[in-house]
Amino acid sequence: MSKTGIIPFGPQHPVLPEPIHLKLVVEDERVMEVYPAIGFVHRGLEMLAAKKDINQMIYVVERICGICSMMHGMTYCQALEELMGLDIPPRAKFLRVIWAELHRIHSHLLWLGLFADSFGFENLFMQSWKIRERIMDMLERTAGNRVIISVNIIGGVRRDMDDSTLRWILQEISGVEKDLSGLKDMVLNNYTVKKRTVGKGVLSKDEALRLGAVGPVARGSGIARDLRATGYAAYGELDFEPVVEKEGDCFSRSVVRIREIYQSIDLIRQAVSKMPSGEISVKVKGNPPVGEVISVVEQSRGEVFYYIKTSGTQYLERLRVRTPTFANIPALLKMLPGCELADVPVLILTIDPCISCTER
Amino acid sequence: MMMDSKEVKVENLLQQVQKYLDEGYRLVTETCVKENGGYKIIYTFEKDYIMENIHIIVNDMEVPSISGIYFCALLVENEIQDFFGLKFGGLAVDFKGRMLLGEESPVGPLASVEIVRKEKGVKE
Repeated sequence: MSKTGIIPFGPQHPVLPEPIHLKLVVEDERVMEVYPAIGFVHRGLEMLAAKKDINQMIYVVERICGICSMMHGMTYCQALEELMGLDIPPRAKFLRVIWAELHRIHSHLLWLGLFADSFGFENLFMQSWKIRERIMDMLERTAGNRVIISVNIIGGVRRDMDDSTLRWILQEISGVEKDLSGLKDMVLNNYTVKKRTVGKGVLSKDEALRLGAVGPVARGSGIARDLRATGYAAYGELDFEPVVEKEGDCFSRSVVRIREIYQSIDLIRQAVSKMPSGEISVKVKGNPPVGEVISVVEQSRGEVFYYIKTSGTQYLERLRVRTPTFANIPALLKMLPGCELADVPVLILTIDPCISCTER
Repeated sequence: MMMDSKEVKVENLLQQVQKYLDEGYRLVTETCVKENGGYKIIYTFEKDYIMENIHIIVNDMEVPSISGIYFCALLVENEIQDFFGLKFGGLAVDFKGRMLLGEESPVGPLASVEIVRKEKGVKE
């Protein structure tokens, strides 16, 4: 006779880098139902829009999440640039692409380490974070900081890269690619990794669409949707095709992220080779006009959505941010029922949860 | 992109949202904004990279939940309940204003009016 019980998972758990609580209703070792609880690190950053001016808000949105900080800044600045009718210099757009793709690589490598740790593959965890350090060094040399690089301003970027720095980036990125070749096999062709991920937490294409999944979670379920294909920043001038896998399981989502690291390396090479010369920002005068604008960008974890309403002053009337993890939690709630209790950490890690983003 | 939104009457909301689902749209999110002493709730849908927005104007505190059509609306509707003090009828999972906020937090910190929690056992 089976036994039913409730197991609390989190908010503090060895595999969770940030606090989320899941109430797991289990029958023996099988998860039957899941109830989420968040709100442990909520900071009310959207409310600060009433107190900080439009330029100060760049620093606030960059602190929504460290890992996606550059892309939060970019999404916010793109929104206000559109509202104010600013056409930013082409060089600024290419620089944004380089920094955004460096962020994507370090985010995916961070995820790979945490994911490996979730099923006890310590060596893979250490190797992926070792490679990630090279990316962090690139961010530090080009922007002066490792995580929150604060390069975006309304009207462009605040830092440039000279030719020697761009050559060094190409050299370093080739080193990263070489280091990754061994790591890739450890994920894609390893018996243990496949045993723990293939056929686990399957999310069909229809479910992913209905549940509003975004980013690698959606693309791992066969949805060919990546906002970079819309051509924001300088992506329209680069060759780009979304990475898609069709199985919808934990393994598919992992493969998407691994392939996206290589795709980011390719995009950085393209951006460096096509980098135009010229200014890196335009001068901004006055306050934004009254209006409402939506800005969306493909972050490492998926689509981030910004809604901004202005009243003609230096303050925003309303800022609303919908982050990718916020969109992927409903998909997680549908993936977990039916899985074994031991697979819960692996399933959670395959949505690459960012709770500080989710709670803002 | 600059916001372009079509107003829908509250009584027609669920029918309109069901239409988006049937046509294969993804629910991107809902956004609540203060508007003339009431609230405007914007529903954003996407298909083939094209975003469409509809909105309702709400003056009372009861709003129909669309989580029965788009399950993924449950988090954002709970968030709106937390921040604006609105109530969504028929929410798939209702945290009753306590999803992001704690017991000691202010009620509806982004609401148009100040909402005060009534203590148990205290007479008006």
